[in-house]
Amino acid sequence: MRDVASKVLGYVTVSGDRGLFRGALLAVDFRGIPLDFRYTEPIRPTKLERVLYGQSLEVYLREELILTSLAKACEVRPVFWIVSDTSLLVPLKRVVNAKVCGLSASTNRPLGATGDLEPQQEPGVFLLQADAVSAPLRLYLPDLREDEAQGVSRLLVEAASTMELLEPFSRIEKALGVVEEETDGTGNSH
Amino acid sequence: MEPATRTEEIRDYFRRLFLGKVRVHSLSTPGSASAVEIRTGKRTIAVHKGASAARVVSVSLVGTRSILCPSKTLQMRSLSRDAKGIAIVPYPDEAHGWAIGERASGVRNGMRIMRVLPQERVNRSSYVTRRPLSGKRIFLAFFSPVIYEAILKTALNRQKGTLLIWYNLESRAQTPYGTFLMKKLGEGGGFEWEWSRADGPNGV
Repeated sequence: MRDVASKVLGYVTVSGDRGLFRGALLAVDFRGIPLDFRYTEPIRPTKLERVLYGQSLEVYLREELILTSLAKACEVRPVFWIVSDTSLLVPLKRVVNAKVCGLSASTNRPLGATGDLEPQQEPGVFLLQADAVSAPLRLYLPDLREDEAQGVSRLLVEAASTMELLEPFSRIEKALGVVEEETDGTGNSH
Repeated sequence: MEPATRTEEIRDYFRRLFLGKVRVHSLSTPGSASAVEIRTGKRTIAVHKGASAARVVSVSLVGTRSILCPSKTLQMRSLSRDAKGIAIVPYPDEAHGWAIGERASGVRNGMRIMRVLPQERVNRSSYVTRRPLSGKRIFLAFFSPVIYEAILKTALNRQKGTLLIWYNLESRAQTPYGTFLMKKLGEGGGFEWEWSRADGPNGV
């Protein structure tokens, strides 16, 4: 019998809304059960720093500081990492040295059968029918050969049979909302 | 060269850059800051005199390892045809020092919060091809996949039409199910859940 509890997926988000940068990482097993959850304290660059470094500052905060810190802190080793923001793919791959993909919802009609992988015009982008009762997911796999992409899709299909693949992103949002309520927004408790 | 000396050099650079315009405050370099590679803004520049004065548009100083100045060519404007700028030779040595205003990102363990949050399933009724026999019932929603044997508690979010599921985190159960939400007609009414294996031959 397959053991879905021993396989781990890693979900990573980094947000920079209104000049406040924060990242989070959720590792779940193939049933969506959480194994590790880490989040960074919010970082708000000063006006001086924003002027001095310009756009370089955002790249530094998101990629060098937040992603690296999160990956180092994670105590489990996901077999696969998933992001919704595809700009994180390359830096995350460099940091975790593992397979990563971008995953988002689509409004396309379901493909023929579960496991179908349909290449799109944009290089590295596929539609994946991860299960029989949902719209196909938009899968972004840059720099992967087709056989590697097939391997990734098999893994995702297996996970989708016991969990909802995009659901952990909304759980991360909720958890960060709770953190926000518990603290004064700076990471310090009330 | 001592780190303090390098920091002083960077400070001097900004003093020159904003000379007479702004007062530049130095930024602290925390003792725990990790070493980073800094590309200096030093350039050897030769400008041939032209009809109009050459204007150096910008030379940027970037302080992180992954961000390098994308252009190694000095851009000039307002030059006559015979005025020439020459390529800037990148400073050959890479200085190692401390990033200006380096920040530390504290990472917190949030498992205490994450453990108590439910998973959420959206209604997939529009994708279901095989619905349960209705009888005196109306089919309302379908939620999947759910590990039925691992459930501690479920709740229906009526506003969003989603199913919230709290799992027993210690459970090893892994068989996926789907559940149909049915509304009973007639006196008494109420809701009814009908579970079916999602991976079986009769799966939806």
